[in-house]
This record gives sequence, structure tokens and C-alpha cells, in this order.
Amino acid sequence: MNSSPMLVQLPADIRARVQSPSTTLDQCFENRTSNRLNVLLEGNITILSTPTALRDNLELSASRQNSHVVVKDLSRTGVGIYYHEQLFPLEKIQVELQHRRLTAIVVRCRYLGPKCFEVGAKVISVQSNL
Amino acid sequence: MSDHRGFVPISMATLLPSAMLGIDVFVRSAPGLPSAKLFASDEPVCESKLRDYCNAGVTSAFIDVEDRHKYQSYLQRNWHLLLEDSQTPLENRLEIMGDVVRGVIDKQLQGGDIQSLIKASNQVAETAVKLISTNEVALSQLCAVLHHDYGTFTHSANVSFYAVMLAKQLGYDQVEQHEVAVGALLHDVGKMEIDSGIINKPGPLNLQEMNAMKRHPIIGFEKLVHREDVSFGQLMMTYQHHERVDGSGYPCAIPGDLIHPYGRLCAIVDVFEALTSQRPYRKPMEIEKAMDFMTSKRGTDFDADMLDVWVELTNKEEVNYEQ
Ligand SMILES: [Fe+2]
Repeated sequence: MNSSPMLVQLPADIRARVQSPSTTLDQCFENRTSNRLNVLLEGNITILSTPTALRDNLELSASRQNSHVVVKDLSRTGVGIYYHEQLFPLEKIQVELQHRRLTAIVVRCRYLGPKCFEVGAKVISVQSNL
Repeated sequence: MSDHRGFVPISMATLLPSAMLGIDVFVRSAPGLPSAKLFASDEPVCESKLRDYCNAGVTSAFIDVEDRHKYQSYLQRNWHLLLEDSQTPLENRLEIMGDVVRGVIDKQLQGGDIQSLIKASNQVAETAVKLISTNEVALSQLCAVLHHDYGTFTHSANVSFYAVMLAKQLGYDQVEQHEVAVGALLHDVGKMEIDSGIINKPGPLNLQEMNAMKRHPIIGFEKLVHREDVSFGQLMMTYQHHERVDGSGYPCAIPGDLIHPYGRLCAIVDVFEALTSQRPYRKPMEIEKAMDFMTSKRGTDFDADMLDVWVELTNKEEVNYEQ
């Protein structure tokens, strides 16, 4: 995992529960079911594509960058993350979790506090053993 | 014509001399003039007859309810002529604009074709901006001539007119006013995908229905986000018009400083329209009461500065229609 910055400001109660990356990640993936597993793991995010009408908004692009995120939950079909910026439905993101890479489409985003958004995305592919 | 059940009123100002409407037009009696069929469906509008009735103070005629669609298409064929005619009093032009926009948006929304909807929205927005921006229109004037029945089309058309008024008062230029007018016409486009049983339910929604309904900003956003002809601001009007400045809105619960100005503007005129229009389970609120209610949400639901400008508008005196 590269050393991109952690920009999200998590509420204290959530921050205290974030686990170190060495936690049993494999187990999370192997046990991925349609049930959601709450994980709170650190990962990396890349925004792969943004739809036309959003792309030209300079304000938006200037403050967005690849960064560390906290992965909140995982299931067979979805991933939840905490990110420092608002993401919009249909944006395509890539989340790296140790040696796995998830590609997902944003479906919802909720404001939790300054520099903290809870983002839900639909997983469209998972690459393992990077 | 003593009982107008089965008939709908139309404005005499919409009758163009020599036009073939293809529908029977009736009038009620006026002093010295007979009460009967004014023009038959197979004859053109007679200028001298029309003038006689107008001079006698007759402002409304009636058509059979069955002929409403024919009348709508007549308006749609002739709206440029009617709206650009400076002889037509402003009040009537506003009324015609309301009728035409409703008709156009209604047709497009029912057709479900987003491409045509955006095209039609741009056309009618141009008219709305021209009329509202270049005339001294008072909000109460506009409110008085708009239809206030319960329907997404009526609602979107009315929201669009109010949005132009607020944008104008906020000092937006005509290009921005046009952008806002189109955005307002599209703001509830996501409702096209919501079950009509929920949309038209004559009463409060249960939790499940409410959750389905609350998805319409996201659905609308997804419908528009890939389009080249929709601006970011217009997109945010669709996506953020139910956000509230204290962060209590949906779908993202973002606070005011993260809500696009067009989204904040749309929230004000959207709620104003909803309060002052008819709902199956409640009567429309008077402007004054609606404003009292909205002022109580100043800075919590609504952007304080924008709401102050809206209040200013509602307090503006009506101007003389005849100018
Ligand atoms: Fe809405």
C-alpha cells in the first residue's frame, strides 16, 4: 500500500475502533456474504471516473485526490468507506485493501461531519493477490 | 351555460383573431350581448365579435372539458404570438405562459423521453425568463394566475416561474435565470420512476413509501448526470433541493455551505409552491401564512439571506397590469 495521506476526519468513536491493516483481512474476503461485515480497516482510494456534468466543476476536482480511506464495511456486493470529500452517485472508485483491489460504483453518500462522508458503493470487481 | 359543469374557462386574451381553434367556444351573457356559442368549431375567430365581448368586460370564455387537449395544442402552436403581443395584458400573458408550460411539461414527462423534456424545458424557460425578467411582475400577481392543482407537472412549472423571480431578485443575469428556470423544470424528474400510486396517494405516506419517495433526487441525478446539456448547477437543483441548511435534509444531509446556491434557491421555491398549492388532503395556504411558516425555518431549513430576498419579493406591491 502506498503512503497517500489520510484526509478523512473520523468522529472520535469511530476512529478509536479502526483496526490496524494486519487484521484478518483474508477472513473478511473469504467470508464475504450478502451480509455486511463491519471491518473498519485502512485502505487507499482512487477515483477512476466522474460523470460529465460533474467533471467540469473545478471546485470539485481541486479538492479531491487519491488518499487513505477507512473501509467501514464489506459484503459480496458492496463496500462502505469514510472519505474526506463528497462523492456522487455513479462515480467509479477503486479501493485498495492490502493485496486486494475493489472497483465499485458510488450509490450513496452521507455527510457525517467536516471532512467526513460515509460513502456506499456497489462492488463490480475484485482483483486479488496484487 | 348556467351550470359550467363539463366546461372549463379559458382566457379571452388567448383567442387570436382569424385563428381556427377547431372547438366550440362559449360565453356567458354580458349586458346587451347574447349568452351562447361565441365561435363554432368550424369557423375562425371573428375579430369584431371578439372585440365587442372584450369591450363589454368579458374576460373568460368556456370550452367543453373534452376539448381541453385541442385547446392546449392550439396554445402550443401560438404561444409565441400570444406572449410577444404587447397588447395582451401582462396578467394574461403570465396565465398563458402557465398554461403552455404546464401543457408542454406534462406531455414530455408523460412521454418519459428525457431528451425532449430538456429541449422543451429550454424553450419554455426562455419564455419565462423573457416575461418575468423584462416586466415588473409581483409574486402575488404570478401566484394568482398559476394553477394550483396537485400534480408534478403543475408543480415543476410553477417552481420554475418562482425560481426565475427569486433569481432575478438575487441579481442573477439572464443566462443564469435561464439556467435556473430549466433546472427547476427538471428538479423532480426523478419522480418519473417512482410508483404513481405513491406519487398520487391522497394522504400522508407510510415509512416505506416515504423512503421510496426520498430516492427521487438520486434517481433524477442519475438521469441527468451523463448529459452534456445539463450544467452542474442544474444537476444540483435536482440532487439537492431537499437538502436543508442545518444538515437535516436528504439525500446527503449536507450543511448549507456544501449545498450549491441553485440547490438552496430551489429548496425555497419548491416548498413555497408546495405550501401554496392544493393537495388532496389539505387546502392551499395563503401566501402570508406560507411565508410565516417558511420564516420560522430561516437558517435551519432555508438559507437565511436567500429567504430574506424571497420575503422582500412577497412584500412587493403589485404593479398596474395595464402598463
Ligand atoms: Fe422534490
